[in-house]
Amino acid sequence: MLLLSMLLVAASVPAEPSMAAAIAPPPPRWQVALAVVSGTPAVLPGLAVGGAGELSRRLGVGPWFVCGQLSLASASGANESWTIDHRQMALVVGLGAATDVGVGHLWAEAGGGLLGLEEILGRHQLERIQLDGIGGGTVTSYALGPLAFAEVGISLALRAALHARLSGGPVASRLDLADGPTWRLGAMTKLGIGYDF
Amino acid sequence: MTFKAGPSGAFRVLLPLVLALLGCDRVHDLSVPSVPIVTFHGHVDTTMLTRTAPDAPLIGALVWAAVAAVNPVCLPLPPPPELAGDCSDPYGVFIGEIEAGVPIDASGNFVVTLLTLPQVSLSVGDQSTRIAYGSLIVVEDIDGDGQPSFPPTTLGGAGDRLGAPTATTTSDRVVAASFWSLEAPQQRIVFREGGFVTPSSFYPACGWTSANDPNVPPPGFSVLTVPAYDISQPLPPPEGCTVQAPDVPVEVTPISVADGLGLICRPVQQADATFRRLRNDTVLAPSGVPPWCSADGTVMAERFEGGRLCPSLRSYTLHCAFDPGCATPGSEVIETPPPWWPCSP
Repeated sequence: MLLLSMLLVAASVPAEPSMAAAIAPPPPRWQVALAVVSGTPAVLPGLAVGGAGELSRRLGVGPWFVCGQLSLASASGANESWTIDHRQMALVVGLGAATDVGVGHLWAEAGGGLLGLEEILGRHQLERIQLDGIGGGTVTSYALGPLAFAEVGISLALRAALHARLSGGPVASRLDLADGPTWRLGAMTKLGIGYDF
Repeated sequence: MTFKAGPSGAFRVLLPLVLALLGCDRVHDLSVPSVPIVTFHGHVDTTMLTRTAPDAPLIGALVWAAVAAVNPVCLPLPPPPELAGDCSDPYGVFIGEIEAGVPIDASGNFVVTLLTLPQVSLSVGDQSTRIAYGSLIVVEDIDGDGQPSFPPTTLGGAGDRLGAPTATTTSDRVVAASFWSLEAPQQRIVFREGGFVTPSSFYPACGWTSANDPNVPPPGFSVLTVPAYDISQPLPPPEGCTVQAPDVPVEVTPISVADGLGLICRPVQQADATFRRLRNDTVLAPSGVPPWCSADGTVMAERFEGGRLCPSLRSYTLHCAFDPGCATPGSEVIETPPPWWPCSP
């Protein structure tokens, strides 16, 4: 719904007159963006939340751009013996295309990279256990696997080179669990701001 | 979610990738298996057991002891002779929590693993210094469910209009224990949290005067061996006690039928260890045993005995200070007893 609203706002506001565009400097080639992220965790059920940063560069004068993203998110779960905290980090590169829509941009991109996951298993009543020097209160493990994503988004100019961004799309990842590899197909959304320079 | 900034934060982010690239780890989903916090090894001489159900399989278990509480009509000690059989032994162990049962092999060995700490309510002390005592027990699994099944401590009914305690003759029976009475030789499972308070009236063990005394249980789990002692006499000296690591074999002592019944009945009796509220519409349960009345007629106790595994008492008083629902607070004795009151001065 928010994506649709942004799209309608962007399309309803006309761009600058063509004469002004003719004397304007070339559009910025770089864009940096920060966003809050929520989506499907790599292993656990529920929701992972975190943040992401993205740097993209336009290729020539066409619609194409390349981007690199780093996102950090956490997800938690528990069973009768453990609390399970997963901190997942995704480092991806992608290729996309963008087009102007009024005072906004509409883009789509896809790519892949690596998903790293830090797992911290903690016993219930951890503080009681640790205070008394009982070992094994927490166990930390790591895993690494491939990740692929696709994303569509829209940005809406706020002021000068600053704009709000909303995007989302599917994510697929593979990680080695203790009882074998697991594939996870999920989704993620991002809400943030971007800056052109 | 918090990710640290600066070098330590970057290290924290990159470390998972480096380690995972080395392929040295695996992560888990919600099916991650349980890992014991501690393991205890028990042994019982099965040839020395006094069996009440010889065909029932034996199971081992760990029980944590609760704070002792006895019915107020049983105090001060000794209780009135007519109630002696209905009052719980305040020097016995009051079972507060039962850990999962485990099978006992043909040699009498069993292994109890703990996945969680004892309940906080059973870890007694001040805000930063607490201790819990446990006992390894051997149970005749009479109902065959593989777990210790003892009489329920809730007696049924609601409010003060309770029925009689339910008959519980199908309860499993305890036939051996490493700690069942302060007045018998003991091997206690100990879980100490924080410092160490001396003296303590919670299952007093040895004459410790400070945490620096010999044989004070260390923080965490341990096994404490205490010689038999007379509770009316000074406690054994610290040198008379022994503290060992939790993995030491614990010899579980065969106990009498009466001692076994005491272990499983004290929680039932403990559930009624306060005076009940006086209400005009209270209905005394038809126990078949005449109620007990104090000499001045101001205290009475319902007795539940015949045919039941655990004798128990339910007591009432006309003394306002002990009645949580006293209608005339400040008065010493309720002048007009409820119509059902069976005692007279």
